[in-house]
Amino acid sequence: MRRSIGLLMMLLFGLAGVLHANPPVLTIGAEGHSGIGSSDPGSITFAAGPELNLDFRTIIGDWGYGLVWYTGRLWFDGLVAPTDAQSAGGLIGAQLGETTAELSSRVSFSTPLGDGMTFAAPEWKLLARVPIGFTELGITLAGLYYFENESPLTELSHGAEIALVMDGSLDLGLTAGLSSYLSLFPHQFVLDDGGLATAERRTDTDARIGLEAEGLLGFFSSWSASVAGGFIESNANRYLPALDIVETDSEDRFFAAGSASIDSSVIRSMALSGLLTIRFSHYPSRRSLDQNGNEVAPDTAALRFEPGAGMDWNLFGPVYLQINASGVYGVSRDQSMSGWSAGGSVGIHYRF
Amino acid sequence: LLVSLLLLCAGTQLLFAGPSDVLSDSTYSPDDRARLLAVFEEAERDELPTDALLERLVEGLSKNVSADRMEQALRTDIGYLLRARELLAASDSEDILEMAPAWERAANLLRSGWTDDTLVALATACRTRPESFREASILVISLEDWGVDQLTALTLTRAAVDRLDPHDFPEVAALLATAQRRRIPLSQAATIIEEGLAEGRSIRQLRTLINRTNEVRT
Repeated sequence: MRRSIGLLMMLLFGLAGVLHANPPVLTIGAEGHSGIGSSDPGSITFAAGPELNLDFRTIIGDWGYGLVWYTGRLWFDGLVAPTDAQSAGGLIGAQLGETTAELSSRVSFSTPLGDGMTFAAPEWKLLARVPIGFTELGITLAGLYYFENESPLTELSHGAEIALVMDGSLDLGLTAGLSSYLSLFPHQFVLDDGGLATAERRTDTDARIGLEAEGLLGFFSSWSASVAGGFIESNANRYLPALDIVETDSEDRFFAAGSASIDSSVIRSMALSGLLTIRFSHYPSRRSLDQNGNEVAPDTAALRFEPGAGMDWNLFGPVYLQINASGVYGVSRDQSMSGWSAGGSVGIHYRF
Repeated sequence: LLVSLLLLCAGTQLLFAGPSDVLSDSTYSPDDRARLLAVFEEAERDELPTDALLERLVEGLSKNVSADRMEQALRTDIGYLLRARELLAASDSEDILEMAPAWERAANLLRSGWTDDTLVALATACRTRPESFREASILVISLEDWGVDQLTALTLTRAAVDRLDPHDFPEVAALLATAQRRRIPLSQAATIIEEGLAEGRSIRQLRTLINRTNEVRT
């Protein structure tokens, strides 16, 4: 099977130029995860199932590089039919003089075979990095379509980002960027004064500014940190049954986020990682509600802490053990935005 | 401020002090001083760099090492310097010999157990960029300590020397660590990095390729 896949990949990339073929990396494994949350602290969820991962990477001649991959998981959580989560993607990058161009795409999906949510989310991204003096100008165009049949979560989003990348020495890289996205929600409709849906669909415009830094700690450890902030303007509103009013601009919000991570692989067989993200949102026109839907404040602010940690251990030869833990702790006067959850997963993988 | 000035004076004194100055402050007998000074004179006659020898002398004195052991240590160091010169010259790496710290580094590598073949392989890799010899040797040692076999470590180091600024050599190690997390076999990761660098791919491009980072919005 690997050979067939390898031949297919070689054919794909071979058409593009001189080929330096690498065999695909195929891993299979099993993973189980468990979670608990403040919404039902007495209940612990469990799910487990097999997974498959396939990667193929290649340098293409003297001008480019390419990657295709697939990841599939099945989750059994006691339901009759399993839930699946799959994704596949590809990337092709080219060096055009001093400019780097990358076109990538992926699709995440869950099939109707299981009991879980069925969705498909194709995404694409075109990136160009043009050197300007001692910096690079990064221009990104990207889009995604999250499709969930008749669901209000269905979203079509496109946007652009422009960034200055400063990493003459990669020991410390800095990226400062501006981005803007336009999102359309085809199954969410703006409500009229009586709370009935109109023909106008929800549209969000997202503008943000960000700063990222990354660097190395010695030879086998790295860190990264980022801060970002922006504003989302939306025409969405919502009906509040307990107050019998339609709240306008309920999804408009300012947001800010900071994130820091560290990865360390001091010995080859083990890698440790840690991540902390802190997010703040302020909805100036959204009332904070208690659990009965009654107003407790004229606006809503929410603070979320999202820590995570992981260990990747190459037990021997092609066998790997992966352990991850993560949590979310939200603080807000709005009942729906406060609370906590925690989860962990253990997986064992075999690489062919 | 006074302490800083005193330290500065002490440092300056050591910087300009020769072996005779250092020995004159020692507790060695006049005969021992003359014997050790002769070792330095021999080294200078052989056109060997003496900075490292002087550091060895200062270190020995601070540890109250006997004159006999001191002489033995200095002659051992000289032996490694001579051996390093012989190997570097044989591998057409005279440029490295012209940089005393790099030459002393080569001698230290032999002292630490490097074989002649390994040193020659590294010197050959650095022939076109001798100024990167020290950082290249650190990369080889770091990769080996991490679990990379010596041949692969030397191959990757050669690729790094050819294409990267010495300051960015640690990025090669970081790419390997990323590849390990992505379950890429070491041999394949090394091939991708070596070929990628040879074909002019940047570290950032290789990182994207290895780490599979093509998410649209994160």
